[in-house]
Amino acid sequence: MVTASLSRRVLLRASFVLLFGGLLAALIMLTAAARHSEFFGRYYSILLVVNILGIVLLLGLIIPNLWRLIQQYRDRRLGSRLTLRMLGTFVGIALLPLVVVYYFSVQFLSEGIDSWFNVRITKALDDARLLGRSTLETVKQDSLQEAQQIASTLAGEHDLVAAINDIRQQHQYDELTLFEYNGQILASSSVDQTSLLPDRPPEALLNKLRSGTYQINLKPLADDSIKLRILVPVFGQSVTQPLRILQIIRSLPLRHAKLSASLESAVREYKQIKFLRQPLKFTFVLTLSLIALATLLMGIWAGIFSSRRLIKPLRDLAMGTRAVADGNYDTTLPVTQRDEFGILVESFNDMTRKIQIARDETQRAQRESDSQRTYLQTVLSHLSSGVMSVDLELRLRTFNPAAEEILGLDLNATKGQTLPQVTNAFPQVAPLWELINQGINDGQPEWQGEISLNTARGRRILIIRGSQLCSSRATDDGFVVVFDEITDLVQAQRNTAWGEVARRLAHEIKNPLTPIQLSAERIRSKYLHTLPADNRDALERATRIIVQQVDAMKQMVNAFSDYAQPVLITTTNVDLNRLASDVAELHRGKQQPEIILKLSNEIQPVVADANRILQVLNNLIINACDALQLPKQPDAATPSIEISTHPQEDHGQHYVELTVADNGPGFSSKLRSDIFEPYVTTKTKGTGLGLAIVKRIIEEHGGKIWASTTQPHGVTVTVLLPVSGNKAKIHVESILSHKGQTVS
Amino acid sequence: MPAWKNCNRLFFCLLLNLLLSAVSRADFALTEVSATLSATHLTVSTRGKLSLSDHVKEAVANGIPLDIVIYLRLKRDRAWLWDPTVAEWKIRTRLRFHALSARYIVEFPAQHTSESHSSLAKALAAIGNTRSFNLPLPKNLEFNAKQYDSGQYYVTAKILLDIEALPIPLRPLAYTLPSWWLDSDWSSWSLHL
Ligand SMILES: Nc1ncnc2c1ncn2[C@@H]1O[C@H](COP(=O)(O)OP(=O)(O)OP(=O)(O)O)[C@@H](O)[C@H]1O
Ligand SMILES: [Mg+2]
Repeated sequence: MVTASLSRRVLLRASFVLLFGGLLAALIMLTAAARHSEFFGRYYSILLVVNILGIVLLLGLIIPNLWRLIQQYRDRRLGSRLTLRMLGTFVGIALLPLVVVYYFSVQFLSEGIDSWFNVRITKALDDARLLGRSTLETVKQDSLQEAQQIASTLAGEHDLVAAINDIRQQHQYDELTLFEYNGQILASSSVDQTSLLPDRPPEALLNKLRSGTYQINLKPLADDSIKLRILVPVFGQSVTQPLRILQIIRSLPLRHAKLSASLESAVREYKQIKFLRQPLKFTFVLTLSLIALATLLMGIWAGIFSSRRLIKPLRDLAMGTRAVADGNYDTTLPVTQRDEFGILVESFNDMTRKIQIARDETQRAQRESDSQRTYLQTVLSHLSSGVMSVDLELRLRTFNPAAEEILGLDLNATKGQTLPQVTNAFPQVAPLWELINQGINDGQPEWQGEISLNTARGRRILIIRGSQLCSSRATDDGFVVVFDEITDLVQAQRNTAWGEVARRLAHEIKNPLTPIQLSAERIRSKYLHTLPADNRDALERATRIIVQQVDAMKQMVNAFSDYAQPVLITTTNVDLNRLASDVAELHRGKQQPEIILKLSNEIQPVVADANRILQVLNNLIINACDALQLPKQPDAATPSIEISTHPQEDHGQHYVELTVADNGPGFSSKLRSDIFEPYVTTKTKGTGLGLAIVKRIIEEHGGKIWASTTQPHGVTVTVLLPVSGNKAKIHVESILSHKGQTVS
Repeated sequence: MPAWKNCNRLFFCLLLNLLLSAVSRADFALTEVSATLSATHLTVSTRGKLSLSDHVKEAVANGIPLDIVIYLRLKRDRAWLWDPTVAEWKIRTRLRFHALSARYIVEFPAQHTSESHSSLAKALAAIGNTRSFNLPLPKNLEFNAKQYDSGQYYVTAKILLDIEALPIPLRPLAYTLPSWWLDSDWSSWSLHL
């Protein structure tokens, strides 16, 4: 490619030199021809045509180039304006001296040529010519007289041939001829031995002679010499009757001949030049104009090329810069020149290279930070703790999935909102907001607290740790809040505490109960008969009450220790539908409310202890029945309990969802978070352990339970039990604890 | 007078002449060409009518020699394409004015002869009516009577003013001014034996 462009350049330059050289040579030859050079004069017209063709060729080269330049200028192509301006300068520099020289040359030429023709010279030459003519006239007269004399001598001559020859030699005539009067040749003598026939006078001349006038005729020859043709009659005896005609052809006398020849040539040349004055001017002006035009065109042509060549590196640079500005940092320009442009181009290349390196560096850094960010995000998203960050204006910036999970909210919609706004949208997170607000207001770099939130799936206890974020960038400043759900932990702690209480109760209370009962019975058997009849009744009643109450206490303590003791379950595959319908059958009839079953056929059997599940169902139905016996709401419908089952899927695990819903009065929202706690009851005779035990049983099965109020009134208790197809209970539990989804 | 004015006038004249060229044209014509073919020579005599434009007449009167050339071509008739030229001759005659004797000299450079005439008209007539010229035939040309009889050969002729023989300063002008374009059309003539 390089060699191709090189050879192209060489070719271009060669054609340049050839064209210019050719045109210059043609111009030189044209000038030589115009100066009457013998050799070039012959080819003047051809040279003229060649020059005009050369100029046309140049025009043909220039006009498209100029047109292209103008087009580029109109299109606002890079560099075109500078090229045009440069070209203008070139042409201006070439044109001005050219015009000046041209103008003065033309002026000088025309005046110079005019000055050749002096009026006096013209007059002198005319006079000389007149003088010449008059001289010729005298010569003619002299010659005529001579001829007449010769004619008279010839009159009596007999040997005409000899006489004529003698006379011719004597007078050094060119030719002497004697004609009969009718024109027939009698005798002739000539210098020129080769010519057979004498020079016959034209018939017109002979006729004129016959009419009586002597004829002297000038006969100019091609070599400017003049011959005289003299015709005289030769008379015989009678003077009136001419017998013959004598013709003498002679040159002028030597001195006259030379002078006349030189005069003739001088006059002719002068007249010629005078006549040619205008054409000469025209020719010179034409030649000069051609030279000027050719020079100008060559100048323009050279201007176009040199300005292009000068501008090219500049244009390349400008284009390169534009490319860099457009973000194309790979631009490198070829270094073609070894001058300042070359240095410029080299520095440009250096610059783009450096920019490229810098760009690569930033891109790499960007990628690195991106990957770090995604890494961080992955870590955050796999964290079981909820993480949230807010900026100084408490605008929510980031949060991880665990945060959403724990709070039970979809935070995506609230991203960028301030925490008060979030709290407005989700009133249940108000405690969290209060804690954060308090922590920030305290101005401590770190703070900690515990809150309890009511979520859709029950109450959750969260431990919150907040800390201030101080980073190098002010925009990154803010707070980060990390929270963990500790509901399970609290529950476990409580369970342990209750277990301890139950063990103590059993030990400290249950043990003395038997002696108390026995003692009371012994008092009764021993003193009942000994007492008077009126006191007997009182004793009998007192001891009976003691025994009854101790019994009741025993039962209570037993129930409590039942609750506190770990639940022992023996699992089998249980069909919840069958279980539900059995329990419903049990509770049907009498004054019981109506029980509606909505059982799904699609549920799978669950792994469970059938007796325990029965206990759960019993408890729930009893609770519902209790609620339905409470004073009715004004708009209450017929009391009914609805038991339904259907399959459920959560986090890839299959469950059976069992709900027990009543249309009773429901419970207060304050109670809602507590009903699964032991000893929470609103009933006079209730222990408050029913739902607590239910919850424990369900948890032992790896299930979940929560209660919600239904509209317009009533309570729905929902139980989720894992189906037997699930891989392992342990697995379910681990996931549940990981997700922090335990139900209170 | 400034030179450019002269030039202007000249160019103007030139333009006008170009425009008028179609109207006023002093012309040359060959009215008769008799050509006789012999074994080695073509003998030709021509009769023509020559008239000069005023401009040319003025030039002659001012001592400018005029070269008048008769082109002669011996051609062979051909059925296809153009007829090939067998031989070609140029008969050159020079006309000039002799100032001292006020006569017009007609030169025949080929014959090294010249004659003088008292008037331009006579001189032109003399040029038009050339006496017989013996023009040598090319060596390799061989005629046979048969070809000749069938009228295969003929002569074309043209007479014109040779501008290239004019003085150089006149040439550009003569090429551009139609008053200098003096020539006849090509005319064809049959051969005699
Ligand atoms: N279906 C329901 N409708 C209205 N309130 C209910 C319902 N189920 C339970 N509760 C409320 O929850 C409290 C706790 O119930 P839980 O079963 O634990 O104890 P209890 O029923 O009061 O006593 P026990 O079950 O020992 O007889 C009840 O006292 C009652 O106020
Ligand atoms: Mg109960």
